[in-house]
Amino acid sequence: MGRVIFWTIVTVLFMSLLEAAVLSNLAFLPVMPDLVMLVIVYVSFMNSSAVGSTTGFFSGLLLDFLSASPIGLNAFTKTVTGYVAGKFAGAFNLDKIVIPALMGLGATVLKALVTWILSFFFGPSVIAYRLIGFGLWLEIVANVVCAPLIFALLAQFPSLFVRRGNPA
Amino acid sequence: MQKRRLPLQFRRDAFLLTLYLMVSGVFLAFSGGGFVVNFRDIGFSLMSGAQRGIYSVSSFFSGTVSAINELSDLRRKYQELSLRLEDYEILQRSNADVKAENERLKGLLGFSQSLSIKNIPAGIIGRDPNNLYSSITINRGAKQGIKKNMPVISFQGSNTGLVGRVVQVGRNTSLVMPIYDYQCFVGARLDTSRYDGLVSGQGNADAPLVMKYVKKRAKDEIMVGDKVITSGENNLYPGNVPIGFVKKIRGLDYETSIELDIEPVIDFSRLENVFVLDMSAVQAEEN
Repeated sequence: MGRVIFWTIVTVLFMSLLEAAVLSNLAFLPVMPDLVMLVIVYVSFMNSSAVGSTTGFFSGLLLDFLSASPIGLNAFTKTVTGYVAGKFAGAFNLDKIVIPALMGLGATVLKALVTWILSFFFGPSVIAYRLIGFGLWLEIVANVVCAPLIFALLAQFPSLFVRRGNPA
Repeated sequence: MQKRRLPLQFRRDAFLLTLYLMVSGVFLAFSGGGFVVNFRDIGFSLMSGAQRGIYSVSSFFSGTVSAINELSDLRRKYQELSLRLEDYEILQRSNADVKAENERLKGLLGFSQSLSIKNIPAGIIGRDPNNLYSSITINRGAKQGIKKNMPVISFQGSNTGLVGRVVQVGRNTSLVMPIYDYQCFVGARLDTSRYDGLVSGQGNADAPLVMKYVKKRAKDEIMVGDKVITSGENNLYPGNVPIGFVKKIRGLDYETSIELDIEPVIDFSRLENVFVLDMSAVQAEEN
């Protein structure tokens, strides 16, 4: 479990810096795919809720340091995402495109929902997605497109991201 | 055996989930407090340092790739030129590039020196990884004299414009909240009619800014294209810094004020360099 968490956090660190220093400067991208979330979903699905919530929490905390969002926001949303994705561990076979895309879709909707709920409790510092705006829909499309790619990339390193003896 | 493990597994999952959510919730609840802010400062310094490193590495690699491309290009051209003796064209192009770069840097230097307020030039090294937030990371921090809440302006073409303010300071990097952020509010004034209002963003660099609380009687005196500047109240921002131009005037009969859509002076999609203003001398004079 420790090995998986370590390598996931290393990967998340790289992905978050890639998002902040490279992808965010590409003017032609209207929104950024949430690569960190996709990594957490994959690792959680391939392991368990405990691994998912742990990697989600620490990965979210790393993102909080890079973002103007209130500290704890990404930690909270990523913990919930990891926990929920982990609950589906081994529930179905992971194909190359459809299941990863659906998981990317579900995780983005869950993130939007959790953020919306948190905005009620923690006031205006937590910005919620707007259903009528393009932002949420574009991010869903970006995550659905990127999920199969990220899953395929991470599947190349089973020794790093899947616990030994894990049936998933 | 399997039956015994499942409840334990569930309890561990639930325990970890509860623990992490509680810690995240505490962070969220106290994110305006001293302890968490200091903790955040440390985390920001570490992470943004790494970000700066990644930026440098990516710049190095892109520079190297460009250099290799340029080298092979030059080699090909050399071979052509040795045959045709047509090197004047390349020299001209190189000269034009250097001249353009020189002009741009001279413009920035001249602008920096022309400012009456002490300023710290900085470059943009990153932007917010969260789509809902819109901070900009710059490569200057506490070590270079940057402090929280310092205003940030920029110079594009022949225009000066307000960029935002510093919200987080690390050792060598800082986080700037741009004026198009949801949470950025700037005291503003219409340059010609002198009516005041409050400018805020819509979270997107492409969406217009919104100037609220402009008195309804100003409606007849405001025209599309009017310049909007900072009012300079409270010394948060210096006065008379251009923010944008009126794009649209909106007002409902039952409301006591009107709203204006403002097109920012600064094109944030091609913003590379900014100037952080040190208002401490101005504030000391006025106090």
